Parts: sequence; structure tokens; C-alpha cells
Amino acid sequence: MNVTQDLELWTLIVNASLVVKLVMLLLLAVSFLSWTFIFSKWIAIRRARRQTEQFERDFWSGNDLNLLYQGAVNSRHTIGSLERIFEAGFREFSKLRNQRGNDASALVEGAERAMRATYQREMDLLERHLSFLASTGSVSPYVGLFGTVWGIMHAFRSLANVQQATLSQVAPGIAEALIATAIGLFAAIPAVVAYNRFSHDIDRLSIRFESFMGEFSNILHRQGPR
Amino acid sequence: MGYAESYDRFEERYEPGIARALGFALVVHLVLLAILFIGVRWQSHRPAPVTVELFQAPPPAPAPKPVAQVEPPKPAPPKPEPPKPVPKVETPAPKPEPKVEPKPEPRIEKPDIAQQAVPKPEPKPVVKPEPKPEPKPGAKVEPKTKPKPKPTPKPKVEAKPKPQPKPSPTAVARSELRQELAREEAAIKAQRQDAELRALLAREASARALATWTDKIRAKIRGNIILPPSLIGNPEAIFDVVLLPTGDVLGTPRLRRSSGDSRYDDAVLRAILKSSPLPRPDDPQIFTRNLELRFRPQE
Repeated sequence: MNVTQDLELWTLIVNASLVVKLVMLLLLAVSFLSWTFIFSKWIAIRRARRQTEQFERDFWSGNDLNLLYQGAVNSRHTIGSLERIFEAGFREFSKLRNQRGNDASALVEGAERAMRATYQREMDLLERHLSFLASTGSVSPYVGLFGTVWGIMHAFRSLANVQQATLSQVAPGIAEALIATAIGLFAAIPAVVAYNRFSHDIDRLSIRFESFMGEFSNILHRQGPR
Repeated sequence: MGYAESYDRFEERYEPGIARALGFALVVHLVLLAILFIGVRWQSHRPAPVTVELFQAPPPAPAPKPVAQVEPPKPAPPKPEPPKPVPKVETPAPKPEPKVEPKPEPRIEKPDIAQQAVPKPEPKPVVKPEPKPEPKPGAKVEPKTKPKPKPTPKPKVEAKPKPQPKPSPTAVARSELRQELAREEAAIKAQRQDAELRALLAREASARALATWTDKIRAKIRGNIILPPSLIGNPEAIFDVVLLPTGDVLGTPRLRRSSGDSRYDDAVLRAILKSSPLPRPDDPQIFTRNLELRFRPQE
């Protein structure tokens, strides 16, 4: 191996051994997926926050609950999570209220159960794919490291039958092996950052939902049975 | 309001903007690849313009070569006499036969001679053509009257007419010969000078490569020298260093000539040891085990 050899990235990748190539390919696919989820989560969470704010404004502006409910039912495919929770709770409440013989606490409990169920569902939707980001963040550096270790083993093995070992004989092998680690880190770092950021955002949203549920239950409790 | 209403939406709903997210992810990766492939060049071509220029200097030599190659044959015939005997021998053959034939023959002979001793052929053509046409008018009558079998008299006859009737043609031929000779000698000289120049260039090139190598070594060592305070003047310290092919310094460098300041000597010695392994030469050919390194505090 010549010292003046041009260590261009592409030649390094092409010359890598099969295992290292597979590792790089896997990491590249993972990186692509994780970036896709990062962007889709980013869009989804931003939208959920916007819709939540919009609905909170509508709700606390003192509109009639029946009007709000009708609006939510009419545009059920575009409404946000908080509006869904409201819709489920209010539907359950009005159903129970139409039945005779339910006291106030029974009405509110029924509404709360309905809201809780919708809340779980919405949270599940919001948190979807987040676990993928978490695994990418924690595992892909190890996968990359595996590729690197394998490549370095390869580089050193080719050194075994050389009389006078110089750095230039191992350098290209190590360089190509380190590319695997680089790709792993490239996949992992954004995934970890995005995971932390998104789980924080989702936590804040869930707190908003829960406090809304509490407040809405109080309002329903005040309305009481007919 | 059936119960189904609250459930059917769960499975239907998909992540919003997944297509956009895919596009973004693609863009991110393409940008990264572009940066990596265009922006990052690891250990790209080394700048070696100096050596390239050095080896380009000789090329002018090849141009003179062709001239020199043609000329070297000529130098051998420096004596104008050899050509003369040859025409004499040749002339007898052509004369008995018609005039037309002699021409082809000399031509055939010339190449042979040219191959054996290249120098001779060229002078001949010059001499032959001139004497033949001129002597013929006078000489023709004589050879015809004289019996053909005698080859010896003919040359004599020919030889006589040449000097007597045409002193000027031979003189011209000789002067031309001389001129040619002078040119050939000049060419030989040029060739020799050329070869010397090339050898000199080669020696210079290797010397320069050695110099750049030692300069590199000294530059590395100089970076590690911690100059002792209150150093007076600019004394020179000379060290003999034994190197391994890997650039490692073998043993302790020997102080060949002290700078006069033992603190400076020690500082240089420490710097040499600290700089091991020293840089290796670009061309492994010029590597030598024993190097003489000179150091001055102010360089």
C-alpha cells in the first residue's frame, strides 16, 4: 500500500470488507428511517400543540359546550387530541345524563373513564415511533463499533505476513473501518437529541391534557344531572 | 352515535406529513453525502511540485541528442585521407562498366560501411560525385585507350587528374570536410557537455533531495529545542545521528563539534532524542544511516 495513496471516501467504502459494508448499509438504512421519523414526529407534535392551543382558546372563551361538541363531531377527521378527549367525555356525559337515575358523580365518572380511554389512545399515537428513535440512539453506535472492530481486525490480519510493519499499511484499513463508527454516530446523535426533545414535548402535552381533563370534569360536575 | 364511532378512527389515523418527512430525510442524507464527498478529501495528493520541476530540467538534453547521434559517426573520419583510398578502390570497378552502374554500387557500399563505421559513408558521397563528373571528360579517353584489366593504373590516372586539373574542387571538398569535422567535434563536445550536465543535474537532484530531507529533520528537531537563556552569539553545533529506516534515532547522537555552549549542545541533544522518530525521506533511495546535522540557535 502506497503512502501517497489517495484516501478518498468512496474508495475506502468500496474497498471495505463485506461485513463492514453490510454494517454500513444497515446503519445507513437505520439513519434514513430515524431521520424520517424525526421529521414526521416533529411535524405531528407541532401540529398537536397548535391544535391544542386552538381548542383551549375556544374552550375557555366561554362558548357553549354543546356548540363545541357539535363542531368537533362535524370535523372529526381534522380535530386534535384535546378536542377528541373533550368530544369523548362530553358524549359519554350527555348519554349518561339522558338516562334517568344517574347521580352527578356517576355522570362525571363515566365521562372521566371515556376521556381517559381517548387520552391513552392519543398518547399512544403521539408516542408512536419514539421507541425507534430511542433504540437507534442507543444501539447504532454499537453496531458501528462492531463494524469498526471487524475492519480493524481485518487490517491487522493483513499485516501479519509483512516483515516490516508501518503505519501506512494499517492506516487505510483503520480509516475504512472507522467510517462504520462515523455512520453509526451520525445515525445515533440526531436520534438521541430528537428522542429527548420529543419525549419532553409529549410530556408537556400530556400534562396539558390531564389538567384539561380535571378541569373539564369539574365543569361537568357542576352541571350535574338534569 | 354508535360505539363504533370512537374506535374506527384509531386504526385509520396515520402519522401526518409522513411524505414530507421522507423528503426531508432524503434531503438531509443527500446534503451529508455531498459534504462528505465534495468537502472532505482525506490525505489528498501530496504537493510535490519541486521534485517535478527538478526532473523537468533535463528534457532540453534530448533535443541535442538526435544531432549528436547523427554526428558521432562523423568524428571517426576526422582524417580526410581515408575517404580518398576508398574512392580509389571503388573507382576501378565503376569505370570498366558503364557510368550508370557505378552510382548504384557506391550507394550499396556506403550503407555497409555506414553500418560498420558510420563516419566514413558521409564524407565519401561528397568527394565522389564531384571528382567523377569532372575527370570524366579528360579521363574517359584514357581509360578507354588503356586496357580494362589493369585496375591499378586507373586509380593512378584518376588520382592524377584530381589534384592537377581541379585543385579547387578538392580544396572545396576539404574545406567542407573540415567544416563538417568542426561541426561534428562541436556536436561531440555538446554531447559530452550534455551528459555531464545531466549527470550534474542528477547529482544535484539527489543532493537537493537529501538537503530537503535533512531540512525536514532539522525543522522537526528545531521545534523541540528549548533554547537556554542568555545564549551568546550564534554558535554552530554539529551532531552525527545514526538512523534506522523507520526514522528512529539509534542510540545517542554523537556531538561532533560543540557549539562552545554546553547548555545549547544539551538542548539540541534532548531535542533530537525527543524528535525521534525523525521524518523519512520522500524517496527511500536517498536514505542514509549516518546523518550529519548542523544546528544554530538563530536560523
